[in-house]
Amino acid sequence: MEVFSHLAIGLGNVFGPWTFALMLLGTFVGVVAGALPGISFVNAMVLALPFTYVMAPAQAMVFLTGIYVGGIFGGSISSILINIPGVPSSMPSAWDGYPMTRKGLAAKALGIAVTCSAVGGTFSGLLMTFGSQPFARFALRFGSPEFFAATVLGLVSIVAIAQGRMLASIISLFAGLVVGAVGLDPMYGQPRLTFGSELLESGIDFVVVLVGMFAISEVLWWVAEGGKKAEVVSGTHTRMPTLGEIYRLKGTMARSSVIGSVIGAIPGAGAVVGAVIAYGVERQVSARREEFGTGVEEGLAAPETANNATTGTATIPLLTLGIPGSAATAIMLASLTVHGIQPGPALFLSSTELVYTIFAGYLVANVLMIFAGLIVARGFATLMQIPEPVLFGFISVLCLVGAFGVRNNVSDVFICLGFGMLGYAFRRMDIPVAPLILGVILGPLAERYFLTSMMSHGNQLSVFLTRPLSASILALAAAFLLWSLWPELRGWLAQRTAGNLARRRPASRADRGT
Amino acid sequence: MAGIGRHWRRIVSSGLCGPVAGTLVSLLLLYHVSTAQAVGVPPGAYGPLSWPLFALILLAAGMGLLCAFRARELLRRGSAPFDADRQPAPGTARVVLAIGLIALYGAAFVYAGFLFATLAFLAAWLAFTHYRRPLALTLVSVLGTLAPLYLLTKVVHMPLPRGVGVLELATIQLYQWLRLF
Repeated sequence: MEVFSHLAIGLGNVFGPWTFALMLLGTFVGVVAGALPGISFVNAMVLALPFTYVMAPAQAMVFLTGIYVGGIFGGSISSILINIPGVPSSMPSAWDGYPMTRKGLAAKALGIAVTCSAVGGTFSGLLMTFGSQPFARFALRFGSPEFFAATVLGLVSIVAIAQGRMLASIISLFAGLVVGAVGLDPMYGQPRLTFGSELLESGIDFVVVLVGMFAISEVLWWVAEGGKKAEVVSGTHTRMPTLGEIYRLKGTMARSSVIGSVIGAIPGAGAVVGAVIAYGVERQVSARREEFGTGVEEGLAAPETANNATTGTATIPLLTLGIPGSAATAIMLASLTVHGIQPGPALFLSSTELVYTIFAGYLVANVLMIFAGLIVARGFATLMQIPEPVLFGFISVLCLVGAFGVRNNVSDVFICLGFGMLGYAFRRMDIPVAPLILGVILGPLAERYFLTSMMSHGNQLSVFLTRPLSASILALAAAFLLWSLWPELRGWLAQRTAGNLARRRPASRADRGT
Repeated sequence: MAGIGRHWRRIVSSGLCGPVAGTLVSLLLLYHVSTAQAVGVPPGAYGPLSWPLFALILLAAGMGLLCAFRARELLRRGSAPFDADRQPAPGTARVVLAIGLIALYGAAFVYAGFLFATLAFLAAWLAFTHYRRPLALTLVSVLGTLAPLYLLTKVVHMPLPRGVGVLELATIQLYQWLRLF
C-alpha cells in the first residue's frame, strides 16, 4: 500500500506543468533521434546532459527517461519503413517489419510497433516500481561468471533466428566476434589485429559497423537493383491495431514483456539481446514459424515489446546498486551524480519521492511515446514519398556523418564504407548480417567477463559450471540452442530415415520390369 | 582454354569463391595472431590473444565447412548440364561507381569540409542516379546540404570539418553569413 501512495505522489510530480513539458519534449527528441540512423538516442541523451544541470533532479531524470523510452521505439520507425535500424535494438524489428512495409502494410506495422512498445515498456515500468528491491537482492549475486553466461545466452540466441541458414548465421556471428576483438584487450591493454594502426587500437565502434552493414549496404543494393524499390509504400499514417488484433498478440506481448524485463535487469545484456531472444522464442512457439521473416505480426510484436521492456528494469541496477547496465543508464547516473545524488539501496530511504517520480515518469513516458511515435512516424513515412535518388542520397550523407561523429575521425567513414561493401557482399552470398552485429556488440563484453572470471577464479573453466547461477544460465542457453535446432535436426533425421528405408525396400515388380 | 574458362565459370556460379576467400583470410589472421607475443600474461593463464584466437579458429572452421559444402555441391552438379550463360551480378558496375562516389565524399570531408563536400556529393549522386532536372538537382543539393548543416551544428552541436586552405576560409565565411557562428 505504501508503494501506491508513493507512486501517487510521483505521478503528481510528473504532471506538474514544467516537468510534464520536459518529459514530452524528451520523448519527442528521443523518437526523432532514434529514428535517424547514425544519430541514435544515446547521442541525444549525451547532448541533453548539460541542459539537465540546471534542472531539478526529478525533472532531469524524467527528461532523460523520455529520451530513453522514445529513442528505443524511434529506431523501429526506420527499421520498419526503410529496413535500416535506427538503433541496434530495433534490428530484429526489420526482419518482419520491413517485409510488412513491402506488402503495403507499413501503417499496420507501425501501429503494432508502437502499441507493443508501450505495452512492454509499461510492464517493465510496473515491474520496476513494485519489484526493485527484490531485484536488487538477486542482482547482487551476479559476478563475472554470471555476466559471461548471460552474454553467451545472447550469442546463442542467434541460432533461433537463423531461419534455415544456420551455417551462414554462425559464420556471420564468428566474423562479428573477430571484428569485436580488434583493438586493445580489456585486461592487459595489448593491441590485437590492429596492424600498427593507432585508430584501430581503440577498436571498431559497433555504430560504424551497424550503419555500414545495414544502411550503406542498403544504398548499394538499391543501386545494384537499378534504383527501383520493390513495392510502393501505401499510406503515410499509422494504423493502431484493433482490439481483436491486440488480443491475438496477447501471448506474444506477454512472453516478450517477461523476456525483455528479465534481460533488461542484467547489466550489460541490453535491449539488443532482449529483442533478439524474444524474436527467437516467438519463432519457436509460433504456429506460423515458417513464415517468420516474410512479414508476420508476431515477428514484429515480439522484439518491439521486448526492447522497450528492457528500459524499466535496466534502471533497477542503476537505482538500487549504482551499476549502469548500458550507455543510456550510464548517462542517467552521470545526471544523478551531478545533482549530488548517490544511487544505491539508501536512495529508496533518503529520496523516496525522487525514486517514485522516476518510476512514474517511466509509466507516463510510455504513454506519451505513443503520441510522439504516431506524429514522428507520419512525418517519417512522408519521407517515403520523396524520390528514391534523393532519399538514398540523404541516407548516405547522414550515415557518413553519423560514422564520422562517433570519434570525429574520417577513418571511421572509410571503415563504415568498408562494412557497407561487406554487408552488400553478405547479402549477395545470402549470409545474414544481423549475427555479425550481435557478435560485434556482445563479443567484447563476453571477453571482458571471461577474462575477469578467469583472473578471479584461478583460470578454472569449471567456475562457470560450479556456480549455480552461472550454470543455470548456461543450461538455459544449451536448452535454448537445442530447442532452436530441434526442427532442423528432426527434418534431417526424417530425411535420413526415409533415405535408409528407400534403400532397404525390395524392388517392386514394376521396378524390376516384370 | 575454353575448358578452363568453362570450369572457372562453374566454380564462380557455385558460390565457392567467397567462402574460399573467407577461409584464406581467416587462416592468415589466425597465423598473425598465433605468432604474436602475449605480454604480461602469467604462464598457463588466458591472455589477450585467447579470445581472438578462439574466434578466428571458429571462423576458419565455419568458412572451411561452407567451402566443403559448396565444393560437394559443385562436384554433384558436375554431371548436370552446365549453365554457361551466368551473367555478372546485376548492376555490379553501378555498385562499383557508387562505392567510388561515396569514398570520394568521405575523402573530401576533411579537405573540402562538410559543406562543400556534401554539396558536391549530392549533386554528383543525383546526376549518377539519373535525377537530372537542373532546377530540382540544384535545389535538392543546396537544401539537402543546409538542412543537415543546421541540424548538426545548431541542434546536435556536432563539430563538422571545415576543410583546409581556401575552402576552409570560404566555409567560415559562409557559416558567418548563414549565422551559424
